[in-house]
Order: sequence, then C-alpha cells, then structure tokens
Amino acid sequence: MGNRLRKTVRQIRRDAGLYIILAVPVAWYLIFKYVPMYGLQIAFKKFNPTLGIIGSPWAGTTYFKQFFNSYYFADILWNTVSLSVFTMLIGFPAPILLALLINEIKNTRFKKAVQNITYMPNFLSVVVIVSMLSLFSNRDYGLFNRITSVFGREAVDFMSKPGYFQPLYVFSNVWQYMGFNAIIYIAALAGVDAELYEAASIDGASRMQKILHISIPSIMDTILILFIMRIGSIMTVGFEKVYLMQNNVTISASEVISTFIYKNGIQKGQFSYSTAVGMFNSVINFVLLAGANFVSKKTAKTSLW
Amino acid sequence: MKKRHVALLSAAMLTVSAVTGCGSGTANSGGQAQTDVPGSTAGETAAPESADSTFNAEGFPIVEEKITLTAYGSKDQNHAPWDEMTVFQKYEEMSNIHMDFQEVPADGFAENKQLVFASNELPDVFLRAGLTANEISTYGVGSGQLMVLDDLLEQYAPNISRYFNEYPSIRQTCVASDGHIYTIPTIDISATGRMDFKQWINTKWLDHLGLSVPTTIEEFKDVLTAFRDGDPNGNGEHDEIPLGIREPSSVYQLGGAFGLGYQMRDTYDIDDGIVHNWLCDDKFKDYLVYLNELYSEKLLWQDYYKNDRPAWRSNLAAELFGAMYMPYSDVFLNCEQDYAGYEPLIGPAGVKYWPDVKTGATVGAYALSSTCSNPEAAIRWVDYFYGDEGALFFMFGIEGENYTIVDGMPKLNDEILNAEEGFMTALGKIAMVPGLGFPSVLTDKTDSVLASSITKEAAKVLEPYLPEVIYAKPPVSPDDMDRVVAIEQDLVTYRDEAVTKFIVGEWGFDMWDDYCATLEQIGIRELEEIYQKAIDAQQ
Repeated sequence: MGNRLRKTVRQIRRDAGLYIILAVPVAWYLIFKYVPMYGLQIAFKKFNPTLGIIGSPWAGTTYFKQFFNSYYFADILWNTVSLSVFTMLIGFPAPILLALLINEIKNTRFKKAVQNITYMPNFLSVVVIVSMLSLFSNRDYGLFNRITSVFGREAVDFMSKPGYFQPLYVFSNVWQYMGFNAIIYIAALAGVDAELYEAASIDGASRMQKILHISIPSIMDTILILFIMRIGSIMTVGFEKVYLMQNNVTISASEVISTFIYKNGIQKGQFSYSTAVGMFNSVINFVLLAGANFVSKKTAKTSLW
Repeated sequence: MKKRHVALLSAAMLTVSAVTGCGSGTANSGGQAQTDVPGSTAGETAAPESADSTFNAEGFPIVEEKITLTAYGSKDQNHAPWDEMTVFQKYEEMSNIHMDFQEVPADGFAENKQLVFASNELPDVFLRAGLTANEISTYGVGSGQLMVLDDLLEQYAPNISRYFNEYPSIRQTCVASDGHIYTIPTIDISATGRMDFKQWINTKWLDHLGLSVPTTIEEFKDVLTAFRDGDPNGNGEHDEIPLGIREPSSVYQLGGAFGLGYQMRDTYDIDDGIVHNWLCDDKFKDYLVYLNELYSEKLLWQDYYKNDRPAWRSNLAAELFGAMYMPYSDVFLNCEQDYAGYEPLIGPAGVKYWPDVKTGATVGAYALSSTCSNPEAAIRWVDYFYGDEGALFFMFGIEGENYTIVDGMPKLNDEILNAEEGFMTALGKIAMVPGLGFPSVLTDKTDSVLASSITKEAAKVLEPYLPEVIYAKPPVSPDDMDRVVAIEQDLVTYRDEAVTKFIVGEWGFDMWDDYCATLEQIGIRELEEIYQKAIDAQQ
C-alpha cells in the first residue's frame, strides 16, 4: 500500500506541469458545471429568495405537473423536437455535401473563393439574419414574393404563416452555417492520402465512385463523432433566433422550451417552474445522447465513451 | 453548429450566474431572515435604530451629514444617465442625500429585476422599477423583500398621505392582499390621464377628401376606405395607412363600440359587482369580425401584430396614419396639428362608450427594500415630489433655468421644446419624465409636460363617455397568485395568438367554438372566480 502511494506521488511530481495544466479545466468544470447543480433542487421547492436555496420549502413535483398540464406543453415539446430534428436532417448533411463538392474543385483560386463566400454568413449577427428574412418576406417588395410571383403564386408574408416558420428557420440556418461547418470536413478531406485517388483512377474509377468509396469512408469517423455531439444538444434549439423570429401568429409553431423558459421563468421571475422545465429538457437531452452513443457503438464501433 | 454551442454555453452561464447569485444571497440574508418575517412591519423595527441625530423630520436638508442610498430602476431610452439629470443633481444639494443610481436600460430590465430579487442583493430603494401587483404579492407579501411602508408614510410623508386621504381609491389601489402598503404609486389625477389611449383622426385628410368626422363604425369604415383609395396626402403613392393600432395587445381596450369594457385594465366587465371576462362573448366575436374586415381590406395597419415600435413611430412621424390611438402626442409633435380627437364611435352596443380608463394610480413607482439602510430619509426623499412645489420641480426642473410660469401654468423653455435631438430626449436630460412610471403627481397643471393642448382636447371629448365606476386589479393572496400566474401565462399567450389569427384571417370564425372551449379548458372561469373573491374582499 505504502509502496503504491509513493509511486503515485513520484508520478505526480514527475508530471507536475501536466497536472497543473489539467487543473485549470477541471476547476472550470467544477465551479461552473458541477457546483451550480446543487441549485437544481429548487425545481422541487417553492423558491423564496429570503430563505435561500436550502431553506425554501419543498414543493414536490408541483412544477413538473404544472408544466405537463400546461395548455402549451404538447405544442412546445413537439416544436422543440421537430425543429431540432428538421434542422439536423437538413443542416447536418449540408456541410458534408458542400465539403465534398469543394474538394472536387481543381482550380485553387476558384476553390478558395467558393469556400470564403460560403462561410462568410457565419459571422453575421442573428439579428441581421432575422431582419433580412423579414425584409425578404415582405408582401409588397420582398425577394421571396418576387420569386414566387414568377410562378404565379399569390404574395404572402412568410413570417406570419405558422407553416413557414420551420422551413424559414432551417434553411436560413443552413445558408448561414453550412460554409463554416464544412471547414472541418474539408480539413479532414485534405488529409486523405492522394495515392488512394491515384490508385482508384488507374483502376478506372469515376469521380462519383471515388467520392463514394474513398472520400466519404475517410471522413466517416469525423462525421460520426460530430453527429453524436449534435444529438446531445438536439433539444437545445438556438434561443435568440427563434425568439427574434416569432410573433403572435406563429407562436403555435415557434414556441420552444428555451423561449418558454425565458418568457415565463426569467422575465416573470418563476424560478422554480423554469428550473423544472429546464431539468426536463436536460433529461431528454441526456437520454437521446446515450441512445445515439449506444447505436453508434454497436454499428460503427465509434463512441464517446 | 459552433454557434449553437456558444449559445448553449451562454445559456448555461446565465443559469449559473443566477444560481450562484442565489447562493451568496443566502449567506447574506442568514442573519436577517428572522427579523424580516413576511408581513411584519419592518419599518417600525428599523425606525429607532437609524433615526440618528442627523435626520430632520421636516424641511431641508433631510439629513445633516451626507448619506448615500442605492437606487435601482429602469432607464427609458430617452433618459440621460440619472446622476446627470438636472433635477437629481439639484436635489442632492437640497436633501444632502447622495443617490447611487443603478439604472438598467428598459430593454433587458424585466429579467434583470427578477434576478435582483432572486439573488437577494437588494438596493436601498426601487426607483421607477415598475413593480407590478404580481411582484408586490410575491416579493412583498410573500418573501418580505419589500418593506412595509404604512407607518413610515404616516409619519414622514405628509404629501403622499394627503393624496391617500383625499382619494381613497388611490390608497386602495396600493394596498396589498395582507392589508399593507409596499409601494408608492405614480399618481395621475389630470383629466387627460383618466384614460390611456385617446383616439385621433387626421383632419387634414378629411378636409382634403371633403369628409366629415365619422360617428358610427360603418361611417368609420367608409372614411378609412376613402383614406386608402383617395391619396389624401397627395403624393401620388398608396402609402397611406388608414388605421393604426400599435400592438396586438392594444386591441382589447378599444372595443367600446361593441360594449366591451376594460375594467382592471384587462378583458373584464364588472356590472353590479359581478366580474365577467368577455373573451368568449358574442360581442367580442362581432368586434373581431369587424377588425378582420378592416384587416383583410388593408384598412388596418398590416404589420400591427409584429410589435414593431420603431416602425410604428416612424409611420407616426411621417404622418402616414389616417386614424390611430395614442396616449399622448409626444412622438408625433411634428404633425400633431393635423390630428384631432373625436367622440367614441357608435356600434352594435348603441351607445358612445370609452372603456380605456385608468384609476389615477399606478403601483410600483417607488419602494424600499427590507434592507434599506435609512428608511425615514428614503421616504422623505420621495415625498417632496408629491408636493405642489416638488412635483413641479420633479417634472419641469428649475424655474427660470428650465421653465417659466406663463398664465399660472408651467411652460418649458423653447430650447427644450424645439430641441434638435427631439423634445423627449432634451427633457430626459432634466427630469425623469419620458416613459412615465416615475414617483410624482400629474395634475391638470403639471401634465402639460406630456400633454399638449391638442392632447388635452382629444381627452376632453372622450371624458363624458368613461365608465362611472372604475376597478383596479384587486390584490390577490400569494396562494391564489400561484394559480393566477399559472392560468394567465397560458391564457394570455393563447388569447393573443388566437385573436391575432382571427383578425389577420389565419383562422376562420368557424374556429370560434374551439377557441372558447380552449379558454374554458385553460381556466378562464377559475380566474374570474379568483378575481371575484378578491373584489368582494375589497368592498
């Protein structure tokens, strides 16, 4: 026993530098991620600021029941999940396709130009994006209505139709983030051994075949890891954009958990209630992450843990 | 995807800061938790300790030795930083009280206020913090973070007490469900302030088209149609907006022609003491059918439901509205001479009726926290603003420098009235007037700071048609308040969504029965009962 302890101490002393570096992120996680978890108990308490977190009286599952019985519960849950799944189905493959296409461009200057142009929108503020959407959707002079009028469609204000909320949200997201998210795949593709492509060419493989059998398998690990990480935040729809885009008419399609928490919890001071809703959100997130990880482990032999 | 992680992170940080804030708050309040038992008269217990020899119960300065109090509140976009306002600088010299202002821009104020209470790191005073009846119930009656003011007001606030004695309804508005007073209201006893919205019509356009002022809702629609088609501003473009309604939530207070009251400043009629929410009534349906017609014929502002204040203001200033509703003309002073008020329209209800009435007091303009270091001084500090001399000073600044008395009425100097940066911004450098919500009294004399003579005229034509009995929202006990909050949170969201959909035609009126059934399911009748109980308890 003593021997073992001495060995550990010696090891720590030897790698002291590494442990010091490690201490910073560990402290960060402890202070900002684990310690605050003790505040989660107010989801089960009737929080009273003068009594504090520990002193507030227990309320059981009142706040969870209140949320599940709320008229908007089904809508909110459905909107959050469908918006996330929709965003992922369209938004996740888009950068991969873009990266594969950019990879096929032989002219270096053209390649750089395409890459730059596609990732620029990433740096626009969400406020700007939503203002643009609003202008484009205008019934009288908006870009979208100019386009649809060519096909003889009647002009509509897209921002005020619940049915258009999700498509507008998802496709503007794709447009904004596709280029930037493609960078990691482009980098992965750049690492693929050029000899593989040469060998394939000699064997008479077409471009399509080279993409299918060399490019995609080479970046499959990257794709899977990013996919698992994305699944973990499936219920975490970007708050700002939804909040900026929604209005009274689209609320049935646009209210998601994060905007609901903001409006009812933070603005109206119902801290216990919003903590309960947030906890519900986190639990679902965790279940999804564990599920995706399990599937990935079984099928692709790649997993987070 | 990156961006989303950043958002996630910032959301997490937000939670963290809220939660850690709570933690430290707990530590601080450990000692006082016993003394500040909710409902105890904290003012009484604090009085002997801090009434030190330097405090003067009357006259100025309020304290002999300079003291500092922290003041927390919401800063209107037209306000200068509060410590730079002429009124507060001058008042510091007079009172010998230094206010350490912690003003927060109005945009993020709602959540900031909640975090201040949740963290329990309270300022000495809440100044223009817009504390609502709900918040008074939660943070006053419930958690005892606001100080009970009953005795302090009696002892040290002769001016405020005068209004309370003279106008029992003002006092009643301020009494919380436990019978105590936690906040000092904005008092408005001016004729103009008896109603919120005044109705305005563009008389220049009427003259141009040879039309007279409409008296019924049918005539009103004809006039709006003429505004739409007749190019009354003569610029050759169809840029006129016949009818302007500012926000989707403004609809509810404008249904007088259809017999819809606005008691408790919500969707209620109260006849013979019976509280009734009319959201499911046929008369409300008729009103929505009418608004839907106006909207579909492009007579009603097409963007009215977008809550876009900047667009609203620029349309106002550009004189694009034919008819619209505004409390004061301050944001369209440049063209106010083209508009005039008119009598309420006659609709299916058959009588002229203007339901958009106010009780004369808005709670929550000023309050003390339970940890206020010098309650007597803090109360005396604000009481001066409710005296005749003090109210004038609070709203107009220093006589001779900022305003002069003309025919017995105060008149701001021309360089403020005609300031290049805008009247309200110029006034915001002197006083806290822009955005209202301040602790002072608006009377027929002092309200000229906001109400132009044209506004006063517009109010005067509506005045005979206000309801006789006016109800404010009654105080509700903390237990009932939990139900009220839970129901209203769904009800208000659903109501605004559904009503907007009916008006813009997203829903047909065959949805009406579904809409009513949903309101019942959310608990509209239970809400009615809670308010009925509270109103009965007040009698």
